[in-house]
Amino acid sequence: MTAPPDELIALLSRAAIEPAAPEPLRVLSAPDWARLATLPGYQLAALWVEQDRALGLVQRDDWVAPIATEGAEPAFALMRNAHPHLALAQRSGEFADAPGEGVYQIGEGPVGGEIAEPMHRRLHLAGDSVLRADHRFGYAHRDILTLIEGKSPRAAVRFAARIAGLSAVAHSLAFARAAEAASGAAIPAPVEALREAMAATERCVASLLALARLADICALPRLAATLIDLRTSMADAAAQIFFHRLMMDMVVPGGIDIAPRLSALPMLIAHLQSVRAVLQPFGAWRWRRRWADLAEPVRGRVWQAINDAAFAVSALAPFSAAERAEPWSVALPSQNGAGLGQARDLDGPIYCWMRLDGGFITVCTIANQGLNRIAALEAAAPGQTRAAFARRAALLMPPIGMIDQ
Amino acid sequence: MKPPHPDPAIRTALAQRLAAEGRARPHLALTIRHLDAGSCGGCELELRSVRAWQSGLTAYGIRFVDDPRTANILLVTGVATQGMAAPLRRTLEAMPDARLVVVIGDCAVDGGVFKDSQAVLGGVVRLVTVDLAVTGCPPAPEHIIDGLLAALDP
Repeated sequence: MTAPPDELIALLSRAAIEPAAPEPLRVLSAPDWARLATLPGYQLAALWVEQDRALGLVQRDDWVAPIATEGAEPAFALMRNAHPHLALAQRSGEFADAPGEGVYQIGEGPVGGEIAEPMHRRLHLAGDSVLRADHRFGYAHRDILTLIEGKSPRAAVRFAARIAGLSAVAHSLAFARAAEAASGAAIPAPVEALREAMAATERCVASLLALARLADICALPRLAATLIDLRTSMADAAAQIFFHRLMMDMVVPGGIDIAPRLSALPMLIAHLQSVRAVLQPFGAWRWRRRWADLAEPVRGRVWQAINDAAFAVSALAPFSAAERAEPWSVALPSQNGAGLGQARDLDGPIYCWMRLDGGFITVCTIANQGLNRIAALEAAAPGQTRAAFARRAALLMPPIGMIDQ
Repeated sequence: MKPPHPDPAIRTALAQRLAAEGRARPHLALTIRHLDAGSCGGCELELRSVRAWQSGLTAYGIRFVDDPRTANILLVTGVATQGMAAPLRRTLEAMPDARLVVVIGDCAVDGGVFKDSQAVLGGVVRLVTVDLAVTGCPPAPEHIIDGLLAALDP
């Protein structure tokens, strides 16, 4: 783990430590919140409002610290500085104008257009060239963090799993690890290995689906259908083994909820082993030129899928040899504490920070890369043609649930 | 994809219920506008499997469209959040009168695990009249196709 930068240490050392928090929660003054935005290399991994104050997770590389401030407004100002391209979650008000002659706007979603998702995308165009892209969220807000509060980690994990179906295992795993860190539970190594294998399988599936979307929009429906077929077969196998097509509700705080049907593992392993062959067309020049502007991210997704599949195969193989006699989960000790859990989905780390009081969750937050991915998409939009932007969005758009929790 | 086997009992029950209301099932073609009303994305993944079954969809006259004005089926997934209430109503208003509302997934039926949330209305039925529901979390692609074919007048 890298050390935090000196200037961040100086800033955090000025903060008041909240006495009731078992893990140091630094309460920053409003000027220090504003100064946080000027520190180089910092990133705000999460931001949420808890009654009269805002809390956040500040991140630099793999170093993370929870912070808080009195009043929400400085936190929102910080958020705007961190992501200047981002239209903050709101469903009304005007979009910022792109100046110039002959500029027109196209809006898509949630009612009409190719977008059937609960969001609105506004493109400012001049001719066929995108000048500016804005996304607006807030339609799909389910108030998940409020549902989580006051419940036991075991009861609340099903909400974390449903933040985004495409990264259900990753969100559950981050949540479970936070609960385990907060309560001091120790998970048996084989159970942890199976959870990692499930997360790798899920990342592989997510890569396949992103590439299928790209193939579809690049007029390669047969390639897209092949990838989707493989994903469907993997979901069928997952339903056999883990009793759910998306492996939802299996990863719980303390281990794995019910004993998986390991006799069906060879079916899933066989599908994972075929990933590399199915992705061969992405290396062929006659197809590759269709996404020449996206060569790097496509290569990244392809190798992510191949590497995750290889990792999942090697991690799952020992489990297909014999049924496990030991229990798959341990009970969480019912105690006070706070903990940070981390897991990885397709685009980077997911963090969950949780505070337990008598075995029940008093504060919980879940941070993922959803907003960062949207901000990167919006930053890359100016100067692209509309079709090129659509291709990029098809490949790199995160699930809406990751943003609208 | 396995060959679809729509349940004849559901087909008959839907036809009788619609006939009692003076309505009919779409004949020969289903043009579907899909709307995500606050889903986790699981049902959408299964819908993508459905959409990848192109030969079968063409054979049965099933087509997904982007414009609600050209659709005769509104396919809704998700919990029906407060934020999606207005877009859902507007989509339905834009559609022709001869239309059916089909909901996919447990969340769309009654809110699923989110039914206690203040931001969730608790199922699409709280907003619009639902004609057919395909349950499951998420339902397998075969079940979705069976459900869609039950809504089609052959």
